[in-house]
Amino acid sequence: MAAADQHSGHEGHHTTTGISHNKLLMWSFLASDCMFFGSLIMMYMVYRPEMTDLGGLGPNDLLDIPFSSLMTFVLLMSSLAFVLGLSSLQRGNEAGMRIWLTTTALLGLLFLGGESFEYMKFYGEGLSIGENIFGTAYFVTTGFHKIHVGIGVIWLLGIVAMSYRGRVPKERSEMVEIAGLYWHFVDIVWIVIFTFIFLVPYR
Amino acid sequence: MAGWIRCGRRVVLGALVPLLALALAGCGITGGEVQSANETFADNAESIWNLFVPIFWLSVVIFVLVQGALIWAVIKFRYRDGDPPPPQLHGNTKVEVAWTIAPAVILAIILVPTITTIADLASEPDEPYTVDVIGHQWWWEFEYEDEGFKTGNVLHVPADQPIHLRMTAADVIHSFYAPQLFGKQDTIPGRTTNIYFTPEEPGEYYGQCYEFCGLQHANMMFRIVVHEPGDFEAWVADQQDGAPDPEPDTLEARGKEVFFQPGAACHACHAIDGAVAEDGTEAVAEVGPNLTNIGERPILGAGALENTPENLHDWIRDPQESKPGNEMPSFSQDAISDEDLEALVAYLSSLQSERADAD
Amino acid sequence: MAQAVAAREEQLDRWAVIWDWITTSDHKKIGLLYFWTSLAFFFVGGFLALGVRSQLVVPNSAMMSPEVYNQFFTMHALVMIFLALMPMSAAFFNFIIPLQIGARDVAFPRLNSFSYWVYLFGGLLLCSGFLFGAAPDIGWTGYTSLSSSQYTPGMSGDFYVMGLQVLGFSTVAAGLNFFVTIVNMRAPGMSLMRMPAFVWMSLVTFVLILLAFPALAIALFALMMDRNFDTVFFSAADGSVVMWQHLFWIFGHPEVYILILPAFGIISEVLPTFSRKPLFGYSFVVFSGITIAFLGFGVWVHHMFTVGMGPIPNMVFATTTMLIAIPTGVKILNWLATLWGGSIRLTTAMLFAVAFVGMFTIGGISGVMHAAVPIDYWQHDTYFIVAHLHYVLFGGTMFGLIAGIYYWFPKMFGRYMNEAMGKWHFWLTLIGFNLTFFPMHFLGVDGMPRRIYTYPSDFGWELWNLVATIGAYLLGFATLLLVINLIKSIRAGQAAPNDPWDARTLEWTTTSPPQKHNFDRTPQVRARDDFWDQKYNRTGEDAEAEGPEEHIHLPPGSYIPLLVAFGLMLLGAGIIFTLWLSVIGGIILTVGLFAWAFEPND
Repeated sequence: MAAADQHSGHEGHHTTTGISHNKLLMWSFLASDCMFFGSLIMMYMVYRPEMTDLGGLGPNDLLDIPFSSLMTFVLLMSSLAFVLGLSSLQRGNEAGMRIWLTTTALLGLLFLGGESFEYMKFYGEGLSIGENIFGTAYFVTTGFHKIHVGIGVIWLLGIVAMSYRGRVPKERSEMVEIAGLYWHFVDIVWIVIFTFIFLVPYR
Repeated sequence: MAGWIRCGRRVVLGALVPLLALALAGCGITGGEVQSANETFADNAESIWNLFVPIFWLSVVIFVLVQGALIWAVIKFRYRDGDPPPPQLHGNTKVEVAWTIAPAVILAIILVPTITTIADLASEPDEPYTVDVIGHQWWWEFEYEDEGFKTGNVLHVPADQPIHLRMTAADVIHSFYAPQLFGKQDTIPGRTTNIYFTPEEPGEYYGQCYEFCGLQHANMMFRIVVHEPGDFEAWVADQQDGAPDPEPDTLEARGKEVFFQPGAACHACHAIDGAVAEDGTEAVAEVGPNLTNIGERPILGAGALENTPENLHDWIRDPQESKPGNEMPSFSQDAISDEDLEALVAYLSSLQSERADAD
Repeated sequence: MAQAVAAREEQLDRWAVIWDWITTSDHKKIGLLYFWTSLAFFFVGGFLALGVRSQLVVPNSAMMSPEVYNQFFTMHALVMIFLALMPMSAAFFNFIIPLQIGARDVAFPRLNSFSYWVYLFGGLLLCSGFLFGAAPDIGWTGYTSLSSSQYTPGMSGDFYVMGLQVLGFSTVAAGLNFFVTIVNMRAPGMSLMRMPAFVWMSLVTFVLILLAFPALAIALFALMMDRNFDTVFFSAADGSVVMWQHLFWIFGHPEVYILILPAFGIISEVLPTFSRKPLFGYSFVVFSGITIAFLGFGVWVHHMFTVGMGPIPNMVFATTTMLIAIPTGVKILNWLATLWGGSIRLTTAMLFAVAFVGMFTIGGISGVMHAAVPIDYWQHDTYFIVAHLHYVLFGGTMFGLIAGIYYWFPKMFGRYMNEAMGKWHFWLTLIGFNLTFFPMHFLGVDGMPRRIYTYPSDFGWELWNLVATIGAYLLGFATLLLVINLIKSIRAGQAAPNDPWDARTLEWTTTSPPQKHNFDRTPQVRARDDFWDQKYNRTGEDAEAEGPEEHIHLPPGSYIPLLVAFGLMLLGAGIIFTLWLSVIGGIILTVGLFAWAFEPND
């Protein structure tokens, strides 16, 4: 979807609602994406009661809440960096935007790295994706989120690259704003996942 | 214009076809077959049918009103040459509200007995007689846990006694349903579902699997034999005694040897309670149905064939012929010679409870 | 010399024409592509249905092996639902919606073309299972654990998972595109409550698509992981076998409304036009549509009453299911009231629309029957359900779509369809349809389970199976008449004016077939049924309904959507065959997306 919303009918078109097509597309896509994550998280919640007794390979044995909290903080900071980048552009500071968006992407990569580190650790302890229902639900749910973060990082770096070629002027800041909708959404979804997978105690 | 009138008449005829069919349905063009839901012999099925009948007649009334209004409108308000456009009526809020409320009231009327019947069917009766039902691809296993025996594809229960079917499945999801006795429930691997019913009349009832379960879903039938209470106890005692041992030096005795001999090795998959080979091997495997009382079962291969000696012969020789894809392998002449097969069939056909002999 | 030049140009033209269709981003051309493709798949589905009915015409039939039969009935459902009915609705979304809202195209023309190509490739991928003798054979519902790699090893299950997954992209992309189009591209003056009923019902459909398809996508994704990557979502030991059913029906029940709502919309156009009266209770029809969509997410368990979740869930979902019958009943009564007091012309389109009301009512009534849970304990998975669902999907959706074909054909092709042949088509369809599906109610009473490839002779099922099969062949013959009529009318039908039916909405203000840019001037909308209002209520200066002349800009065509769609299909096919295909598909997809993002399209 990343590319799909960058084409066609951008600036200047008069629309019924006053919201541009691209932005409306992103909003409706996010509504749909809510249901993707909703389905996954719902599944996780239904399986949750089965996860308490998994012979040393359950969430109570493996989840490292302090580390995940740190990663959550990193992701939240990336959203902050993004907001600063967008406001730089809106004030006409393209270089500032590039710096902040690169920071955002790097924080995103740091998050992906940290999460991958956790994957490796779990795998090392013996939790494969098919080991038990926790392995299955945990890896697939967070993996699906990781794919979203990855797409976001590529998108942000794409904007930075375009900006170097002068193709993201102040007048087209909506393009960055739309990427931001996506980035913040992915961030918020992580908060939900973090809450339901990590924080709520398993009994 | 004449053309439109003709068309209108044809609309009447067209809509009369289903109407007529529906009327005929009420006059016995359907129902009364072995798996029909309208002839009930247990409280469970009866309460379902009793819920259906009033809803059905309510539906007929609504059906006639709607189709009647539709046809009437099409005929009465047809266009004639030169007609000016009719008044452009956009709606009428009072009418709209009225016919939002009307269906709501009708549905509320249906909902009340629905909810009470759901509760009735789900409530466990006092001191039910419990049988475990296990669905397999593609046959049914019935376990009488307290009495300590199993049977396949034919369920025996006493009349006038609340029965509790405690059901699960071994592989995929199946659904257990005998229309004349009770409503269906799925049998699900890793879960337990329940059916409660009290059969009212001794007899043999038909049922089969209703949830698509793969290649041989069509041939996953069963029968339920409802006994007089006294008869049932005798049948249970017979099952507990195990299979009768054939007289020595008879064809049946030879058949029992074939059952255990390497070419056939029936005991690798099937159990016959109480059957012991000369070398002490017991027939206790549980891959296929328990065969302890196979001789008295009306069906073979979960309904693929009627149980006659000829069919049993054909079935053992090549079960893939009448039920392609089932788990039982074919047995060629090399595995079981013709004579041996004849003996085996004789042995298996003889496996009947004494009570059945007495009948 | 002029001749030689003309011949050469003609040859050049032919390639240019093909290239033009492949790269088109014109909503009308994409609509026609959808139309013909879905019609072709409708015949595939019909052929499979005749196969099923032929097998069941006599007991103990040996015509088909169970392997083949199971593939036939599974693919019949999949083809009809995903490759025939939904795309035929999409054909009308594409062709009609921009015209009805006074727009020049959809919001994202290239995304639109992408949707079509994904549909075509996904459909071919799903059907190609037959080439390998491994078409899906697990029922269109694909229940676990039957659909797990343990009980359905091999490619057939993968064709099911990946075929549907790829098709889902097409549907969601179209849903996004048309949602934005309707919300954002209405002509000036067309407020929400002035939108034609078809546009309204379509809008509700798109919302349903956007919110329901993710559940299917996740279910398929989880099943794919289970089948190919050893996860345990649906294993009886570690996960839950029933979870699939929840996800599937959270998608599956809204899907029923995704299928029927466009037909509701078409009927709400056809009935007023040929009664020469506005739709009665427009706002009630609109709000009942919205209510149906909302409640549609709260009734999925009525497909699972026999799963044994206990009496309380069953009571709750029986209640919600009966609630959803209320707005549906309101719609039927409003259609009746639209006819009432009208000036009714029984054209073929109108006949199908009227029959829709009658047939759909039967499907609705039988639906209420099994909403009463204990009755569902009987009717679930019997032929009663088969009868019910066909009264909804054929007597409902298909009748509605056929009404749409006859209604909009003059607009789409500039010619009338042959009415005499149309009448034959209608009566044969109505009779064949009832002959096929009404007896299935009786089979349901007699306890015949659905999805069985054979049945014994002593269960009393022979007669009605025979009748149903005769009806099915009649229905097949009737549908041939439709195609003959289509082809003959395109070639030599009577030329149609812009407004052949004295209709009410904006699509009839432009030429037939519509010019490339739809409208010379953007329409200015002043009323619901604006065109009718123009014709009958406005005079003189007041009739000047169009905006000022303006610069008309149409987006150029592009082959990139085709490329991306192809990459996506390969990505899915790789899971079925070998992962290398996925890698190649992934590369094509990625390159294509970048090309898409940077392609100048103005």
